[in-house]
Amino acid sequence: MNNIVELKNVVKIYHRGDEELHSVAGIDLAVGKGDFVSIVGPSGSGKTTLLNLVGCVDTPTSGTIKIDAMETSRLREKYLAKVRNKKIGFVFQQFFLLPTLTALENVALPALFSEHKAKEERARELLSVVGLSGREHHLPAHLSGGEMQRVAIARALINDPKLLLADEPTGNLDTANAEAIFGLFEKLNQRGLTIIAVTHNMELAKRTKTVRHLKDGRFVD
Amino acid sequence: MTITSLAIKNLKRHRVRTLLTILGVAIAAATLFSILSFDVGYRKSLHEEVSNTGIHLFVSTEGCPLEAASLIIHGGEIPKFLQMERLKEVKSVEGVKQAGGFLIFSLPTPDGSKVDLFYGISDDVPKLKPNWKIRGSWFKDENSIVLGSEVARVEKRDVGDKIYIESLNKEFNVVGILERTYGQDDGFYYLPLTAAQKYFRKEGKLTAIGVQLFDVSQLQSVKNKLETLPDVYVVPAEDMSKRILELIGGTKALMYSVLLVALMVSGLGLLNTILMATFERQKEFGYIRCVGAQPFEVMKLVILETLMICLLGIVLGIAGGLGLSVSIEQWIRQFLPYIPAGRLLRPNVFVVLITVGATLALGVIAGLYPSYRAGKISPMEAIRNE
Repeated sequence: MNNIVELKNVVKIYHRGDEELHSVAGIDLAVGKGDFVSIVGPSGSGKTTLLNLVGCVDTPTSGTIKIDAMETSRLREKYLAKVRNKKIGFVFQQFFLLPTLTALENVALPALFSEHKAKEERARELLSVVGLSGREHHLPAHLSGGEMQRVAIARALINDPKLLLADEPTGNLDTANAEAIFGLFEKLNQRGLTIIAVTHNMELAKRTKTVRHLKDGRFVD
Repeated sequence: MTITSLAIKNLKRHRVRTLLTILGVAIAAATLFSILSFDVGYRKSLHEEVSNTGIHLFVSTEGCPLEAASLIIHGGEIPKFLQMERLKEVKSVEGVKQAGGFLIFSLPTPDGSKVDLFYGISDDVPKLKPNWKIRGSWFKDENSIVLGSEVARVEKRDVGDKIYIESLNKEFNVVGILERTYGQDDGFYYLPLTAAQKYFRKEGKLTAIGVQLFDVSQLQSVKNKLETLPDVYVVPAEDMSKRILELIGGTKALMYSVLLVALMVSGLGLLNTILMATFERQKEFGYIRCVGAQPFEVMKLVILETLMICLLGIVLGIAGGLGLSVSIEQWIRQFLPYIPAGRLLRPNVFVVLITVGATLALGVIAGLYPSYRAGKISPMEAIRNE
């Protein structure tokens, strides 16, 4: 009951011509509330596909996925979008900040598609949480890589998600910035946020509460 | 931040491209606005001109009624003539309030450089032309002449001057100047009817008779009575309007062809811009979808951007159409076989509404496909190629 993510025998098959690619080959996963899970593995091991399935941006070929006790594996896209909006925050390696929006506007962007009120006030608070007070009106072009990822994290939190998914969040950052961003994740996790991060960086992965190793679409630990 | 401010910021991303697209839409909107204004203005001016003549029926000799009627207004010779006594007979027909005789003649100048147009008119004619304002006086004798305003301007003559007319080899006293009517009347020399008959050796002859009725509802019965007179052809003024409108049908078809091309070019330009902007932002749309935007919300954003371009284009186009209306009118005049008095471009609320509605419809049509594509972008697009 305390699991926020539950995957049972989840399979995802892609087709390339006549070939079947088992990107995720029968995975069981349970992530408890407040957990901080890192998923590590070589390229092509199915990390990103797994994150897509958990993040409700893709649906499994078979198996079941529950997010916050809601079965999402068979939901239509319209309802999946609602789940993504209300329950999940996303952080990507490439930040995806809109270049014409200020830091504050970028943070508030996901709230445009939700029922959240007082978006600007909340966005300011979150920028303060990620240590960017005073940078609200800067455009992404005037921010460093570390600062852009902080804005992206603040943006992922705007709708108060129960789950934060991060796909290589430090992949584009130098060591100091990667350290700072991971520190921020740890701080957020200490406040009760559940985090699943896909990473190649074993040093950082070791600092998470749970490390899962993925190879050829299966957990090998 | 709202969807609207997001759309505005997106448009500002490529300012030059957005501006050029707005200009394309503005040209289409200005063309539509001008052509519709012309359609309204031409009909009104023609109707006003025909109404202002105060003439309800034109009586001429047998032949093409359009030719006869338009010649009375436009100027030109009809090879057949009415006998002068027809004027008395017409006046005596029951229901006729007044009637005036015209003798229209054109003579080339001896050097052949231009053609002088002469209008011999009886004293009744000014009563049939209530819009005429003559500065100076009416004819005093056979040497009197009244000049159309354009003739006076070209010949640099004013009331009290003398004018030598080379084609008639005669000098006249300018007793009056017909103030500008913005129609064909501005280009005539006006002579007393009897003098004109004498100079053109058409004594006792008339080109046509203009007839005003006591009661316009009796037009058909008066027309029937007039047609019992020998060798006459009767054309109601309203029929003349219709026939002139048919006459300019070709010009209008040309203008609507230009409009169609302008709308197509503008629509394709708009489609191209929005489609390019959609392709460029696939990952952004993917991200927006990823964080919970429904497909219709992404479509709404793209349609909103398209409509904003259209709205700015409409404002610019209508402003341009109004600002350039004088030049546009001058340009259109070159292609018209008949130009009535008064302004030819007369925009009204209806014209503005049609321009706004049609241009916005163009925007929606042009924006439909790009917005559909944008709405179809999967949230996986944000994660793919990471």
